[in-house]
Amino acid sequence: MSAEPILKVADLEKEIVLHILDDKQVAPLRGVSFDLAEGEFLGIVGPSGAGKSSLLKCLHRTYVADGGRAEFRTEDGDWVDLLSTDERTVLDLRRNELYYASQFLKAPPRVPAVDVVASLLTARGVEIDEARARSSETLARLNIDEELQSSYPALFSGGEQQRINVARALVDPPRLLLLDEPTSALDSENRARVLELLLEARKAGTAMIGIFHDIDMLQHLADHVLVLEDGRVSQYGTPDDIDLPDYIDAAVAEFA
Amino acid sequence: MVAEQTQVPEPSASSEPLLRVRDLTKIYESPGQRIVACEDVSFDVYPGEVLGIVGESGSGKSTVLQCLFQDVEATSGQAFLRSFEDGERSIFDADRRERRELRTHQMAMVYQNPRMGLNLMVTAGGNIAERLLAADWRRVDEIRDKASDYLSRTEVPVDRMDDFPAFFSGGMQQRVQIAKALANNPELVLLDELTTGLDVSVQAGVLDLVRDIQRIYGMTAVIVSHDLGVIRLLADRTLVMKDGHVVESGLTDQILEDPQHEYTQLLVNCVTN
Amino acid sequence: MASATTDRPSSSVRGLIAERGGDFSGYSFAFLDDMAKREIRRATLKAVAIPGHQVPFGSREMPIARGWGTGGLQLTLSLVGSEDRVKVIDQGDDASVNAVNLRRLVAQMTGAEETLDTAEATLIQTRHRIPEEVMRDDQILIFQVPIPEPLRFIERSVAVARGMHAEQDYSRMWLALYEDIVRRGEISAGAGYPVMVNSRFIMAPSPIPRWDIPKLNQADTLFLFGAGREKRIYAVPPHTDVRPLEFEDYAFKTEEFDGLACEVSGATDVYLVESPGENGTSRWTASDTNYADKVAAGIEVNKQW
Repeated sequence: MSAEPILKVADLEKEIVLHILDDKQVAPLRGVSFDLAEGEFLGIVGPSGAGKSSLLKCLHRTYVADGGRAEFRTEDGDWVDLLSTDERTVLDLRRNELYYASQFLKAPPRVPAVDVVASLLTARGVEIDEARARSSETLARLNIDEELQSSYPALFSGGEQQRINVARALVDPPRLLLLDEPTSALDSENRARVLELLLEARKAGTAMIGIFHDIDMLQHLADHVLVLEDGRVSQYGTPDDIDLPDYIDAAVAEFA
Repeated sequence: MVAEQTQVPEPSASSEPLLRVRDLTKIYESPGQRIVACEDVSFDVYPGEVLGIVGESGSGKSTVLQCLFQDVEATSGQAFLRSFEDGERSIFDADRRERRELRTHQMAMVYQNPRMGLNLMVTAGGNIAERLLAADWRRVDEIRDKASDYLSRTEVPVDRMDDFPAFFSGGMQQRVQIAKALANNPELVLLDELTTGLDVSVQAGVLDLVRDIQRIYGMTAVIVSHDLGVIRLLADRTLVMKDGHVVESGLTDQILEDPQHEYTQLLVNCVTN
Repeated sequence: MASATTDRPSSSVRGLIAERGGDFSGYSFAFLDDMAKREIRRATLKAVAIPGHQVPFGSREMPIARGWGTGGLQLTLSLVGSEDRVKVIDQGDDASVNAVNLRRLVAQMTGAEETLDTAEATLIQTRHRIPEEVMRDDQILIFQVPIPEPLRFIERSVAVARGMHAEQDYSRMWLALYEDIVRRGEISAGAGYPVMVNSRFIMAPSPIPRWDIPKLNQADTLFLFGAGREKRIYAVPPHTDVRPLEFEDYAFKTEEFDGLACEVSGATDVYLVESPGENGTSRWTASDTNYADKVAAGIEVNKQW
């Protein structure tokens, strides 16, 4: 792939020290390195507890990394280290270029679904009417009808909440999208809809790092797959290079 | 003559801080007693952002706000507001007149107790008018238009404008207080435990209101709360205070999901578990 | 006031006069001793230098009760010379008991001439009116002031009120006017309508009617205000801006006497007061009695303040 690199992760380390549990240490990441190009999709697989979510959270700065670098090329062409750059820059990138879609929707209470999505656009300077129209369109493509759109997501099923979350991620695809099992509660039809939107975003140049327990998804989407085991990269290659069922079945079993 | 800029500051990483607080210290001293309310507190607030300060009672978080609004005098330290002397002179060095200007034009405070922020002997509209009058508004019709505007923004029925807030419910009083704080478009709004005294159902409405106002008007604010839920909902970045000191600061989601300090871990786990 | 008799101790003006057979040689000129007069004059000079600012002074015990014009009287006595012609009016009336007593006291203590004619007087002491006839730059008008602090009604603490003046922090005053309009549809202050002096201090003009407020602005005459009980002197020097507090859309208005005329002079463009007439009717006359008398006598009076 000749696309420009957008992210260079080197020796990423993360320890979690739980003072309240007698300083018990957990070490989810022990030096993770990889590169990512514009429009590239990197799938992350590995057993539960391998540090998959921690990796995404460190890149999103929801977690504080303890070592390494994650150089991100911004829209302006500057390279910034996501792990160490100042909080203001992180907030700015999160607003405009970087989005983390988790498994569970964290929507503010008492806000209609359409506005949960639209707020992302208005924060980027889109007028509210246009933001709502675009949000509504994306939600519709994810099978969220008008009635649901005007309801509060807190009352939704897990699958509906996940689709709101995906809509937030994809209504205006960012330059780097971090996907943390965003389809775990979806049926096959809705997964197909999500896949369609993800493919469009990838085509438009969005780089993605995704944790999926769905072989179909990975085979359709992933340019590369990274296998994380005990906080280390054990394998890296194309989906064909790696025996995916080995990792995914185990994970699904644990998840269930 | 009275031009109001409804500016929604476009938050940007490159912009200068709107407020810089350095080594803010407040010590209450009396014979045989020395109480450190807060010590060496430093932070920046950027245009359009909401900074949260969280901590238990007695952590000194409210003292920080009181010092900034100059309800109490800081013992030492400095605070620079961008619009005050180009941010070159500390607002703690302001003379009385400058302080009043700071309190009526550049800054506003919403207190936990509406009685602190409202004049209950004056109508709801009059409470808002007070800040406009301080800014030399001299047309009653314009003042009343503006007051209705602020009251409707804060979802206070406009037909109650000429009633006394003494007869309002706690939630409604808090809305009037917020409306008053927004009058004159202050650069910086300080919010001190604004939902603590309210019923849970009313709290939600007030929080939604503040969130909406923040989103629509790009308010820059420092919000103090012992309630992590309030901080989670409103703050971009958060300081954690304990015993008068800042023990941790960071992005709000990081503070909640990956707290570094022992105290913060305890605080977060008390809520989530 | 009950009339004093000769055997009563000298606790009243009349008592003094009777006891001494009209001889005041044992007293200082103008009753006050020289140091007192100097102190009052110093306060007066300061007041003139800072228009509208209330200057404290050591108000003396006077031979009239506090509240009966001791502040104005001390100002008058500190300024009057034997060549002066003194007029005293009480709500415009030269003939009220209090006006007559004060005028006599000043005259007898100084040898100054008494007059009822506004144009002739060099010093006029007044309670609650400004004469209709325009005053000149060689005249001084001295107001008796009951409450010198215009912020008294919104701030009880003298210290806080003084701080508000110092910082020109008048938003609460404006707020009180706003609330007045909300409740009553207008600014209800009648007598003593607050004014802004020289774009700096809000001042209580003493309880003069609104009718007189415009006369304070850019006058040729020096206006001095004395509050004896409250121990304050303040001033509006000649040619000073004095504006009533008003909103652009609720403009200050003077009293209107539609269709009424003074029964003495026939004048319609004067401040009228009502008194009971015969058979339960009302009688309207100019409150400025000297003005009414002059107009009635066919004398031309300039009232273009």
